[in-house]
Amino acid sequence: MAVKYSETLDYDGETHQLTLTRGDGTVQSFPAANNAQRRSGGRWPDGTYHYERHTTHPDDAPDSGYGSHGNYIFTVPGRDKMGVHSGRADRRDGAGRSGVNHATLGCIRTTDEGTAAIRDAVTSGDPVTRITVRNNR
Amino acid sequence: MRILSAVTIFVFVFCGAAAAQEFRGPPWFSAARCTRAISDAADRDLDRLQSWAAVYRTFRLYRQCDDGGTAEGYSDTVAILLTEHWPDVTELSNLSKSHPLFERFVLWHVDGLMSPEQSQLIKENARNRCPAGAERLCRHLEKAVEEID
Repeated sequence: MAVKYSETLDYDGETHQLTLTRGDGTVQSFPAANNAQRRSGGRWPDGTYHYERHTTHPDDAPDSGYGSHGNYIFTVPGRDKMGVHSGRADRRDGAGRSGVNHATLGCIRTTDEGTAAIRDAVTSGDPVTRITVRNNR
Repeated sequence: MRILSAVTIFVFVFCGAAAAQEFRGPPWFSAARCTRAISDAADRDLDRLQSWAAVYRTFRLYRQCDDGGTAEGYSDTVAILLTEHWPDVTELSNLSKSHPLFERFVLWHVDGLMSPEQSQLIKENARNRCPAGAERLCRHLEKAVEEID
């Protein structure tokens, strides 16, 4: 009999990895960063946060602000619209960084592949219900 | 030894305080006043921000939700309007004269999310293509670009 795991999402601020563990035990890792600008509410604090909702916009694309699959938002107390999204694949920020390292105003940025995996997990029969953030100082 | 301990404690406390102050969100953001319904409305409104009048409207209605993904959308809009729609800066100047907090909101979103090309163009626009009557705003825009961290 196959062992059934619950789907979990983890972000490690030290290794800059977003890890999705699927219900069947499959583990997928994607590069990610939480380069919040100083003039913002800051990075995600370490902790576990419940999945809240998903937003999309007509211009969602690899280079847009949120990437091809929109923003997956979790409930972070004292904050709003703290999400995981992709975007800015080939567009530099003020510091010259692009891709996952492009600056945000709080959100974790990963790749389009990462948000596609979250999309699949969120819409699956055993969806992701929370994210755990660690080592994000 | 006592002096060394005191110095150690001072450094620890000072550095801790400095680290805690590393981030500073916009003063108009309020998690308590940013309800789920308002946050959703603010997000939907991001797709309609094609003029300074629309940005002013969203600022008036939803500024308490200026955080995370919504805030990133505001920064994107401000960068696009100041680069691809520069002639409209007169409208921004007029709104800024009547609503100083709105000008602060716009300047706040002249930030490190914009590309080096965008910030350079805004600087050049403000310095060399400033419309009559908008000189004060142009000075503030130039300064905001120079202060991007």
